[in-house]
Formats: sequence, C-alpha cells, structure tokens
Amino acid sequence: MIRLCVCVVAALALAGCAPLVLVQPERQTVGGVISVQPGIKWNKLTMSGYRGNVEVWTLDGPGLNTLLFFTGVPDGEPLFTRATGAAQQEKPAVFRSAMNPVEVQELLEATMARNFQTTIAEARNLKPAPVANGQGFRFETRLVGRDEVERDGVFAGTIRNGKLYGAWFQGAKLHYFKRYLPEFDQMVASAQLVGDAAR
Amino acid sequence: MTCLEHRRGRASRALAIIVAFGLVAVLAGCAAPVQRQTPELRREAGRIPRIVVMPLDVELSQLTAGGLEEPHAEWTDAALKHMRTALDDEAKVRKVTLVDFQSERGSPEDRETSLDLVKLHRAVGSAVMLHQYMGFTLPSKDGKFDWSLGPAVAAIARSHDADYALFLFVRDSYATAGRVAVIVVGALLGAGIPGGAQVGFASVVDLKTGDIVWFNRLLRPQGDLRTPDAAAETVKALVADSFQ
Amino acid sequence: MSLTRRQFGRQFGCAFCGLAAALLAGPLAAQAPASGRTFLVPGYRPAPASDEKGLWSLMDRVEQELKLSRFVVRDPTLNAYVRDIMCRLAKDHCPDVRTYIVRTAQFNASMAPNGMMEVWTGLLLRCGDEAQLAAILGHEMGHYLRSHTVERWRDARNKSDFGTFLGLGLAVAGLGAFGSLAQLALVASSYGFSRDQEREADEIGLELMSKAGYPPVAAAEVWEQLIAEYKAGTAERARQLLFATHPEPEERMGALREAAAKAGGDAGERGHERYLEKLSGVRAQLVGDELALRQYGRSELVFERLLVRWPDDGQLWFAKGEVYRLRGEDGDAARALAAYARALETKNAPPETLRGTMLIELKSGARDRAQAAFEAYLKAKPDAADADALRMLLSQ
Repeated sequence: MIRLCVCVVAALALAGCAPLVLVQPERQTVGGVISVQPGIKWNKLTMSGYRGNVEVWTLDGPGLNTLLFFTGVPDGEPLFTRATGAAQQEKPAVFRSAMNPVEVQELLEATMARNFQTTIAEARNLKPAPVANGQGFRFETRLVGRDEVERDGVFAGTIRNGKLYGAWFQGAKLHYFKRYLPEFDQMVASAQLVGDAAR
Repeated sequence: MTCLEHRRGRASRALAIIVAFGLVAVLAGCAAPVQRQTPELRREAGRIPRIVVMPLDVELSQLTAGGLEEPHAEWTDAALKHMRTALDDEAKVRKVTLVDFQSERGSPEDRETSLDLVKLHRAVGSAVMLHQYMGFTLPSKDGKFDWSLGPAVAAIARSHDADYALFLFVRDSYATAGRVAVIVVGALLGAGIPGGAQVGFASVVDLKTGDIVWFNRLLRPQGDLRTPDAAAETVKALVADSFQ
Repeated sequence: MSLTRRQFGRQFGCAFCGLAAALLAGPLAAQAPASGRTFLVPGYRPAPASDEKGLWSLMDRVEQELKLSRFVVRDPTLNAYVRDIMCRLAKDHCPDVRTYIVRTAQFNASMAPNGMMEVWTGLLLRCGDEAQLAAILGHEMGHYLRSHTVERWRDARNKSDFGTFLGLGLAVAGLGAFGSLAQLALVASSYGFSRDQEREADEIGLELMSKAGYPPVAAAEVWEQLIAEYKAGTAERARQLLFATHPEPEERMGALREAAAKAGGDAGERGHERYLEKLSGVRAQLVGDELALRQYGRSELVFERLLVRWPDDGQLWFAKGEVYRLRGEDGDAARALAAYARALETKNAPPETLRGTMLIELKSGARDRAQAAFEAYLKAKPDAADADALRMLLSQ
C-alpha cells in the first residue's frame, strides 16, 4: 500500500506535476523578472488555477494565504483570470500602461469581484512606497469570497516600461494574514527587477 | 493546471482524473490518520476540561437515480442525534465536560468572531485534509503540523468559559439501488466519492492559543451512519483518543 | 461529493434559470387563466414521511445558513419594504413567506418550497419602480403557490441521465474554501421550469399584481428591459443563455403585453417615488457593485434607462460617468465629464463625482482643473479615505 503510494506520487513528480514546490529562504527570481529574498520557506503552486503573468506562492495552502507575483502585466491584459465560470460575463477589465496607481487599485478591486464572484471586494489606503529601487505604490485589500471567509491583503508594485510588476499577499483575516505580514514586507524591501524588466 | 496543460487535451485530462482517483484512494493509507500535538488535555488543579462542541458539520446524502447527491435531511438529523449521544457517553467516561456552542452567547463582538471562526475552521479543515492527508504536501512545513485558528479563539473561550473546542465534519453518501459510482470531471483536486463511502475529520482546538492540538481523519467506512451503532462507532473512532 | 446545502438549494430556486426559460417558452396562452386551479393552502406543511418533507427540511437548513451569510443585506427599511410588497401580493400566505435580500450584482429572485424568498440586489438596482419589483415577486409567488419547485425536484430525481448533474458533483468533500473548486460546482442548472409552469407563474403573477393594485403591464416591462440589456452586452455565452432556442423572446414579450392588457394593463399604482426612497440606504452600494463588474455596455444601458425615470438623480448621472471613465475608450473622457457635470447640477450628486472629475482632468493634463476638483472633493467629503492617494497623484 505504501509502496504504491510512493509510486503514484513519484509518477506525478516525474511528469513534472508536483503541485507544490519548495521555495528556499534564499534569493529567488520569479518569472525571470522579480528577484526577492524570502526570509522563510515558501511553497510555489505549479497548478494554481490563476492564469496570466502571475506566479503563486503559499504558506498554509491557497485557501488560507496566497502570494501573487505580477511578473510584468502588459498593456491590454487583465491582472489575472481564473478558470471559474466567469466565462458568461463580459471580457475582464485590463491593465493599461498609462494607468496611475489609483486606477491600478480600482483594477484589482474589479479583478477580485470578478474572479471570486463576490460583491465584497475593496482596495484602499493607497500610498506611495519605494519598490524595487524606484518609485512605486502600495495599498490594502479586503475580500469576502463565497466561502464567507474574510481575507485581508496588501499589494505593492510599480509600473516600469509600460508593464506592471508587483506582489499581492492575501490571507484569512483571522490569523493567517497578520502572522506573515512582516515576511511580506521584508520581501518587498528586498525586491529588485531583473532580466527583461531591468532593461 | 499548467504542467498538465502542456500535454495534449482530453487524454491528459482523463489521465489526470484517474491519477487523482488513484492518488486519493491510495493515499488514504499513506498519512497517519491522527495528529496529536499535545499528549493530553490540560487538567489544571481541580478543573475538569470544558470542551465546546461546535455545530456538528454533518451531511448525509443520497445518490439518486439521476446521479444527484442529494442532502438527506432525515438521515442527517438522525446521524446528528446519535453522534451527540455518543459524544456525551465518551465525555462521561473520559471525564471532560461538553458544552454546546451557542451563537447568542457573549458580547456582540465575540459573537461575530465566533461565527467567523466557524467559517475559518472549514477553510482550515479543508487545508489540513488537502495538504496533510491527500498528498498535496506543503514542503515548507517539513512535516510539522502547525495549523491554527489563531488567538481570536479567545472569543469562544470567553463566551463559553471553555478550554477547548471540538469540531466534527462528516460527509457520507448512500447509493440508491442501481446507482454506480459518480465520476467527477474537471478538477485534479476534486474527489468523487463512490456510493457508500465516507469522509470525515475531527479537530480539537486549544482555546488558549487557537492551535489545533488534535486532528483525526476517518480512515475507512464505519458503516451506515444512519444507524445509532455506526454513528457511535464513528464518533468513538474520531474523538475518543482526543479526550485524554 | 455533496454540494454545500446552499449550492444544492440554489439549483431548485434559481429563478434566473426560470426567467431564461420563460423567455424561451412558447407564446403565452391568450386566454383567461383556468379556474379551479389548486393553490397551496396557507400554513401548509408537508406530510412527515413524505419526500417533500425532505426537501422542505433541506431548505430550512439552507435558510439557517443564509441567515448567517455576509452577503445578506440587513437594511431594516429596505427589508420591511420588500416584505410589505410580498405580503400585499401573498395575502393569506403572507405569514408563510420570508424574504431575504442578497448582495449579488445579478438579476435574480427565487423562492424555495418552504417559503424562503431570495431577492438579489442586481434586481433591485434594475427595477424602475415598485410595480416592476412586484411583478417579479408575483411571478415567484406563482411558482410557490403551484408547488412547481417540488414538481421539478421530483422530475430531477427520477431522471436516469446522470450526465446532467455531472458538473455539480464537485466541491472536494463538500469542503468549501478552495475558490476555484467551489465555483466549478456552481454550473448553471439545466433544470429550468417547464414552459407550462412558466406560463402559469406569469398568469398567477399578473392576477396577484392587479389584485394588489399594481399595473400588470409592469411585468412585460421587466422582460423587455432584461432582453435589451443582454443585447447590449458582448458576452456571447450570456446571450446564448437567454436566447438559446426559438422562439424569439420578442414574440413572448408581445404575448405578455397582451395578457397584461387583459389583466388590467396600465391601471394601478407604480410606487415610483416610494421605491427610490426605500432604496436610498443601499443604492450607492448597488451602483458600486454594478460598476465593479466592468460590463460597460450593459451598465450604460441600465443607468440610461433609470435616468429616463429619474432624470434629476445625481447618483445615476455619476454612475454613468463612472462607466465611461472606467471603460476609457476614445471619447469616453468627454462623455464622463459631461455626465459628472450633469450630476453636479442636481441636488444629490455624490462627492465621488468630483473625484471622478479630478481623475479625468488629470489624465488629460488639465492640472489646474484637476486641482480644483480635488479641493472641491475634500470640501464635500472632508473625511475622504483616499485623500492622500489623490494628493499623491497631483504631486507627481
């Protein structure tokens, strides 16, 4: 029984389909463009259900907290989409290079409302912030999904060369967000844009 | 599903489902069913541990001829009744006091927090099942079991003057005559339960810290939960060890 | 695995499925409603061992969960208002019915066999007056009084085609939480009401409306508005949902107008002003929820239509401006400014109108005008939470 178990998991791993991959607390490059230094171990989701220029990490599982990296959202693309029956709705709202931070904040609000099929999705407290050796911005989010769990969040990002780079950490308001906020803050502080983003 | 998307369409989806099935069925045997973080409940001088029994999240359903898993109120009511009786019996034997969770107790703030904690526990319970038992291990945890509801549980401790909270979750389905297994389409993480199987877990939360100090998963079918005996057996299998 | 109770309950209460099916159903019989129709008796309870009792108990549990939901709107004025309309229509059945207003930005209302009625805020936003809301509630009462849901449920249980409910068997172990999985489980139900059932509900709805003093023509208006809105949208799938098969919904609308004319036509109370007044506590929220969907074509039409009824409503002009600002296509900046300006001429323009003006002016490079709008915004809303954010934009 145990042998068979190991075989199945190994088969998946061989297929390159391990759903969760360890991220060591050492400098990482995300999507080839964002370099960060996590202070603790994280897990990267290889099958997150999020589509677009994003990479998703988690600590306690995506139901409890998620860290979404935006690895260069270009003009005309949505921040992300999820395969969750939003097909019947109109086309998603998209990012525009000429957007200012207020509009990016509004965009994430609309993206949350659409992808989590909720009316309780808000972004607020926009402030300027240094991000990746340059001028950026930061704001908070609040979301209640269909599971009725309230989630707090924080987004930090910047627009460089017409693309949006950033990170959005979200977690259950009770315990799972606050607990790791310092880790998120220090990761943002460590962030640099590299590769294509640095040109 | 990025890695599987790279393979070709439908064949890979079918494979994914079969693998998912195999994974779920097989891994049922892989992880230890009980996670016990602390050896025993705190028994401070003279105080019998008070355990709040949170609203039992039990749903028994029937697989109809149309392939619909239809929640069956009567069966669920019966199972709930039998389980509650069994819990009381266990409590007497193990010398703990059980208190029913009452949503009207406590300050308005505590009441709201308590409800939010019930909702949170569903999410945490799902995460434990998925990442601890169903093979989607979180490598960062290094095998540690550190799931928690957080310090906000003080709201329940206050309103019920309690030391621990007990959560019970059971889903079970019974096929009507002539039904075959219901197959689940489309999600690697989705698990179809063939008629007659059960999923269940129980968790005990320390109301001082919010930590889940005890978590147990139903390993194999315990029989027809619509009958008092099987319901009692299920409760025993799930919680008895936790009331030490 | 089994659905959450609410997901299960939703299939059998989905009036939108019913509404869609209504539009697809055959032409309304242009004759007087059949007499001798048996209605549910007031105070009805299903027999203890019956299958119906099972469905009833399930719906009771769904209702218990609904009561605790974050998405239920608890505004006392609005709730009392909707309940009163319900009671006027339901008469002797009033004590059997409980109404819940659910914050979802879609047009829907549904009624469960145990008397639990859900009205979605997307519907409340779209109704032009009390009579239109009464039309929907009356239609749902029709399904309830004739136990259509129980019939449909029995049908569904007996069908041997298990493929239909395939998609609904998801949701890992009924454990909520994983957003994508829970959503996968909410596949649109294909078990709409039958054509006969829809026809019946329409007829009963018209009767109840006219008896309660509402103009039955309002029922036809609701459908017309809905069709027009979907035509204005670009989501092919959404359009298909409504127009999937023949006959042309317009044909049905014609038939409904005819039946309405026979049932009393235009005579009756609209409750036009009262409707706006009772909604005033939540309307800003409803507008915000609609805008968040970013379905520009549809929202534009909805707000334009409402402005025909309430031409001096600052909140509606603001909403229209926001549609253009958020869409941001050629010419939209000018359209937005025009709408905001019109809003500011009314008595009830929300302060956010000035915020919108500022953002547009800033984008066009008109710094002085943007600055002026910002200062006016702060004056109108001294505690504006986004003041710092806007100031930051001006300083860049």
